[in-house]
Amino acid sequence: MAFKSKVEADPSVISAVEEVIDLDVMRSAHNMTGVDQQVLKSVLKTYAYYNPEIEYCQGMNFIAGLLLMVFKDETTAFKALQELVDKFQMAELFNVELPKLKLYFYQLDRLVNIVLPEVHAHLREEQINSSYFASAWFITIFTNSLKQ
Amino acid sequence: MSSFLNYFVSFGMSFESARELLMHFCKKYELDHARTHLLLSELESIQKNQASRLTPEEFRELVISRREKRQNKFKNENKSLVLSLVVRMIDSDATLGKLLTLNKQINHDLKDDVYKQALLMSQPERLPVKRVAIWSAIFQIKEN
Repeated sequence: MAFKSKVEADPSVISAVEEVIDLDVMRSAHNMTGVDQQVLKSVLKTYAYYNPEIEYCQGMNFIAGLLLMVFKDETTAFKALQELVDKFQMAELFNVELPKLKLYFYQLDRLVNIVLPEVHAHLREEQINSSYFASAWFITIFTNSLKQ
Repeated sequence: MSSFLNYFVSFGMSFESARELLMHFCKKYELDHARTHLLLSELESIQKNQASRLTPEEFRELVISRREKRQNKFKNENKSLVLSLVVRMIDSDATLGKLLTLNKQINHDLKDDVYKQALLMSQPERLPVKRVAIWSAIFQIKEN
């Protein structure tokens, strides 16, 4: 209730990201059958207010959606999202400049180079780096790739 | 700068020259260390030649470093160290659960490994039943 009260007391704080959240939730609705879109929006908007350092980043809708699908409860999904970001230091993944995402691209490139050198060489020849295909994997921690 | 790095590689510029040029511009535009480090890492990762591939010696060093990291994690808790290696071989949720009840220290040391094993390897057919409980434990969410 505490977070809800804060948002209710000062709705202007969260209004800046509300539109983006509404659009993203609408776009990802087909991936999340059984998730109440209003509840999902509520979780994301509350989190945006709760953590102004991150607010909202594209991809969080998939993560929160999966948590809602599993826990089937708004409060638990919010707590899980909060703990997930803290426990695995995901703030840097969602920060404006996405520093951790760049690090993951580098690590993926290095791993492909080590484990599949021919594939790595081919991707280099074609000037394809991991940011072309791996952004969604990392930013949604693979939740957008999961089957229902 | 990131796009330019790809051009450096496409035009066949040597890694050393590209790095020197990159450092020059990083200094000129007063980029902070974190950004400079990321650009250097990116430059290294996109090299076409395979010089950056790990040698067998480097692989060996990696294995040793992983072993040392594991030993440091458990410090003087030899039982936990041995059990952490055993956890990966257990494919029974009941046995994994029992491991966490052995004592407080082992519970503290092994819970992450046990949860990982239970979620990814052990009795996958039970996943729909156990997922909520394990995630709740990982995220420290108390039952309402």
